[in-house]
Amino acid sequence: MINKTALVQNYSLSVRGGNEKYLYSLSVGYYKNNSQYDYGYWDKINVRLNTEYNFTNWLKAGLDIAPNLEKWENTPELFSAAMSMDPTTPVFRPESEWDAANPMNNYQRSYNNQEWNPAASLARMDNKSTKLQVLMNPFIQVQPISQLTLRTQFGVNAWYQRNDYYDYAFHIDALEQNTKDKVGRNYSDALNWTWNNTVTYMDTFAEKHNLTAMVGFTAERYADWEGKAARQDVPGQSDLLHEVNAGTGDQFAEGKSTYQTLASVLGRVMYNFDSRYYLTASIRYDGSSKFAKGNKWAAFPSVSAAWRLSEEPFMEDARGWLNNAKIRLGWGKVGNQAINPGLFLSTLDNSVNYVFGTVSSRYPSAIIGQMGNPNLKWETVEDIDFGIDATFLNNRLNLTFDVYQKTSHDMLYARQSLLITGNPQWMGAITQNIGEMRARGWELSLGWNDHVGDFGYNVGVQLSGVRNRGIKFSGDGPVLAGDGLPESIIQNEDGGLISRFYGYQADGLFQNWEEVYAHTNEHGTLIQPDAQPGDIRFLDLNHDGKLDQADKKYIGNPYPDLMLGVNIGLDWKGWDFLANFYGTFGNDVFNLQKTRYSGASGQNVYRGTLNEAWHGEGTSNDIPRLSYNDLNQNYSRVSSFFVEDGSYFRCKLLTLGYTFPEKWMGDFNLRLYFSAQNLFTFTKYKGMDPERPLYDGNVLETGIDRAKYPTPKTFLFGVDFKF
Amino acid sequence: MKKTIFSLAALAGLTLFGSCNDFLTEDVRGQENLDTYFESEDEVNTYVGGCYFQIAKGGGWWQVYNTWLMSDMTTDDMWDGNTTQDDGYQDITHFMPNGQSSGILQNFWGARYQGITSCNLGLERIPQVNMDEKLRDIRVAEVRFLRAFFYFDLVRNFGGVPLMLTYGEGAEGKERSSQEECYKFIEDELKQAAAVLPQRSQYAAADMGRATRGAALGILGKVQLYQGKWAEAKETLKTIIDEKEYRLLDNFGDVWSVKYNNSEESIFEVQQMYGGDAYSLGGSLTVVTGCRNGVGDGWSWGQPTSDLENAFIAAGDTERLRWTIIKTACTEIAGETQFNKFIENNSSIGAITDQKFQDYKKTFGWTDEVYTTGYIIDPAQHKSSRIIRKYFVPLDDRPEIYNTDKIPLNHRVLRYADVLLMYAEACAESKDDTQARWALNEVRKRVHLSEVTSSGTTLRDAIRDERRLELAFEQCRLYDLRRWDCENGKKMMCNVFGPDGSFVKYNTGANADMYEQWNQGEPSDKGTRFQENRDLLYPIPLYEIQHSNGAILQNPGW
Repeated sequence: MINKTALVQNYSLSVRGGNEKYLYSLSVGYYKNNSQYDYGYWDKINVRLNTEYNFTNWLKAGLDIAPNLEKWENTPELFSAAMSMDPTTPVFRPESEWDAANPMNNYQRSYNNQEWNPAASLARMDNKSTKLQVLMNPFIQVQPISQLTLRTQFGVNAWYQRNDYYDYAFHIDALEQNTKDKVGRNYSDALNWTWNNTVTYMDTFAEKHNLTAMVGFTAERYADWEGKAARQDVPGQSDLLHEVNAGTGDQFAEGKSTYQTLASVLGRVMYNFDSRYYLTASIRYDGSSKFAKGNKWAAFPSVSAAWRLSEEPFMEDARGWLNNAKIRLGWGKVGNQAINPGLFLSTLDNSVNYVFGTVSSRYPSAIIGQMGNPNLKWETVEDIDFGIDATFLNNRLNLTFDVYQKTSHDMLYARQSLLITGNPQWMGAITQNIGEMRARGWELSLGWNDHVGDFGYNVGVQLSGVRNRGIKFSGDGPVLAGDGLPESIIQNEDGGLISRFYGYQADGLFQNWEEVYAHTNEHGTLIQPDAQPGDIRFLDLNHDGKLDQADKKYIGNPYPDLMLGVNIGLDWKGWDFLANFYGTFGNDVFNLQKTRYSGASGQNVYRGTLNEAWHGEGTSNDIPRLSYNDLNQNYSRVSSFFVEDGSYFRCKLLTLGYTFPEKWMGDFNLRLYFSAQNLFTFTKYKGMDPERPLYDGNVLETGIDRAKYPTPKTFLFGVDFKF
Repeated sequence: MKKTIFSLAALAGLTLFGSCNDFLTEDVRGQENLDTYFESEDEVNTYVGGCYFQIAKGGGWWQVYNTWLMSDMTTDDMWDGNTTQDDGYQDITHFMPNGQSSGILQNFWGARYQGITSCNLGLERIPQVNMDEKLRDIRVAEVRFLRAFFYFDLVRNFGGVPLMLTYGEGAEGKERSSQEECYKFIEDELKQAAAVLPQRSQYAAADMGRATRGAALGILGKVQLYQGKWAEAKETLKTIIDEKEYRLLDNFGDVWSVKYNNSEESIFEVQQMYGGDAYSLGGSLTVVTGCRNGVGDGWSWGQPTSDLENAFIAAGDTERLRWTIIKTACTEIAGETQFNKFIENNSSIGAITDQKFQDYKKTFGWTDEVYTTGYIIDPAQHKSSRIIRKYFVPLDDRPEIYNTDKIPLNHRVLRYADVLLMYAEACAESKDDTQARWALNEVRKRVHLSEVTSSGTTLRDAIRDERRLELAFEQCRLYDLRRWDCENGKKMMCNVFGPDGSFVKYNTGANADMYEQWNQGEPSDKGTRFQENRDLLYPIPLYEIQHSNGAILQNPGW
């Protein structure tokens, strides 16, 4: 059902050409990616045409146009189900019980848990989409005098998407069934445009004063339209009847439109003296439709300066070994409005119904759909950056170093809230400007490239570190996040590092009854009265003889202390080799998948669980005993039992290529290459993939392993042909 | 040329900028804006319908019905029942140490506060709507009743809760009010609503199902009774009786019949109907509590205990027994005309010759007749091999789809028999034995039981026994057990549960029921973990404790 390998194919062809008046380039590509399931693929044909035409020496225009056509079958999300399904349940029922009329009924319901049969779910997948998308970017540029450029550019991104599906009727069990089949079609289309208008003045005075000034106006609009139709009860078994028109039962329809707009006025001045002293100042005034009147607009200024000291006369002596050196300092603010539209409004949900009447009849009703936050405003990210760029030894060694501080003011965040607020959103989440957060970090990049005879090589190392700290969050308490257990896994508090796991401190397992009884406070109160040997010992940090909120502490940090990237390139007589490595160090993962050891709810457990789990004194100090009802809450308490070191070092890419020599090929240029992605990983992490958890969630809620589609290993064989 | 292009661009830019604030105004489309709602009578009606929807969140079972069912599971009347699947109930119903984490209670808590929030907004906005004043007052009173009911449903389960009374009120730092304060608030609200709400008979046919004066008084009486305010309860309940809006149906079997939705006995019901797949207008408990091995697709949660069955037998109450419990190997189901379908269904456990049935014969002393003439509720899949008759819907009355949120059986929240028995109790407790006996015997007469002539504590106990039998599975038992004082100075709950509780001793002793004893998929020692100083209330959901940052305190014992 889930395959170890999936085929990816990728072909592309490009040509370019032109003369002084006219330039063009054209590329055509084809990409096909099968999913790792027996169902699902993604197919894409894309074309890109770039043209530019110079009418006169003061007027030019251009058009980039990139249509693409995609087709896919929706890839199911069944990893978790496949892992949870108990292995003693066969895929199918005994053949004697098979239903000739509907083969979808022939699958076996799990003997032991409530997981739906993943093989059956996969067999029922019938969900295809087609998307036609066009990106267009026409521009006109006028240069009335050589120093002045007026440019207007109108970018359009439009698409049209159709999705057809068929839901089978089936009956595997009372809790695993769909009583009526349904055929449906969803349409969506979108028209997004961006209009940029700029006037740029660029001039040099007295030979050494270089000035660029720009003013501009931009406007953006994003429009989405959606229509859905479906009908139940398709007669017969024929695929030909999988059309909405063929349905005979209940009809379903939905449709909506969403619009978002943005506008900006901006100005920028850049000045440098003699390519030694640089000054830049800019201001932009941004408006967004996502905020209520009065909060739509905000101003974002920035200033930066740089000094290229290698150009100074007093550095002349150093030019032998120092090719370039520059010191930069910058400060600026940018806005963030990446939230859903309309969150400042309170709306009604008209989709509900009640019933009244002696003869019962439907009574269309309304409940609160969204409790809006009219005070929402722009988030401002304030950035201070100090940096050095330098190259040495004939440009063989280059170095870039930056230290920065990014402060997010009025951070936008959907905060979980108390359920007594009555907010209908999941976990009572309401989007608000939650407060202030600061990231302080550094980045160092070093590169060396050289050759020894025919043998060329280059090595690059990128090192970075960052500390994210909450400064002041709005409201009384800490910002809680991270669901999956009865309590929130993550706590963010004023002055503390963000997204840390917060819970009980696990202290190994009780190996025998003596240890259970010995786990008391000073007054002899038994701290875990429901525990047995093989259960986790949790620490009673405040010594009050019971485990409660006051015994929690920070038990892990998902953000790494250090991130390291390494790339190595070698070439020798037509052979080329490239390797990229990436790793993070000192980060923790909350391995929520450890709950799979519990076998709770009759779910499948990890292979070897019986041996790994505690089954007698000294057999384990990590994985607790298997129990029916987990009275000790080994698997439901947020505790350090789940926290693992998520450090890893991974080979992200290896490529080996060979370019055939000119003497064989003449004007043709042929390169063959083989590459592998994610070939190997060094980690102590026991879950599926240490890299994935950090990509889930958001900045205040990350590092929880939810067993999402892991990073796949990919092998690629390629042919480049140029002529 | 240059100039033209320049000025055109500039002009376009300026025009657009001038209209920028229009350009940046994008309302949410397709959803009505709350700020501009409440303009007309229609809008008020629609909104109030939504407040009713909150009673059980339509037909969805997991927010409200789930907790209602679990309420009876936490008593000696009902097992969790399903022994083939893991449930979330045992944490609560078996009094486990991790009860605070119950997702079921968390969902219920959230759902109730969503209902309360809807009502809070309605109570603020509806009075300002320009519409027929009399109707407007009624609509306000309906919403007021619903909010009081939602609070009552919280307080009887959790004790005192935070009183959120205005829309959009800040929740941070909000603390729980005491149980007394909450009940005081609920009483005041119900009195206000009762003064305005129409009687059942005053509503048009199309309005059947709306809150009535009787409903407000009935819940008020219950709130007073729960607090032991006997005199006040007696007066309130007497008002309902004297106003003669309700009567007992002639046949007990009709009380929970689909054909008798909104009957004259019924005081308040969750309205449900079959709405196909397009609308979730039906109820769910029929399916949730149905037999797991058919007929129909039951989930087998919430099964009657033999302990309850014994109580019926001891009372000689055959009529209510057959309309309350369906037991495996039975040869008829009360009210079911197509019983043969249920016999045919026995093949769902395998053939008569299969080892499974042969084992059952040996274990339970069955004969082949059981297979050929009885209805087998598979003992392997059902803790007690019994299912609830009250929620059962005969085949003739079942809609096309036998599935959750499709069942047209209204859920009886309050009915006249309950009012009579509450009145009887209030009278007995305030030494008016004559009135108490009258009300009690009204209820007994219908099911052909002899008149009770006793008085004093004996009479009081007879009323308590009667409540259990008449109102089994109607979300009364738990709150009765929690409040009834016994001779030994303890609440009745403490005598039923705990290591020496009557229910525990019976189930773990030699006289235990053979089905319940045989199937330990749900352990028979339910109740041993009961703690007197902890389990007379449900725990506040841990989520709420954690998110309140210390403002909301947990119930004692956790």
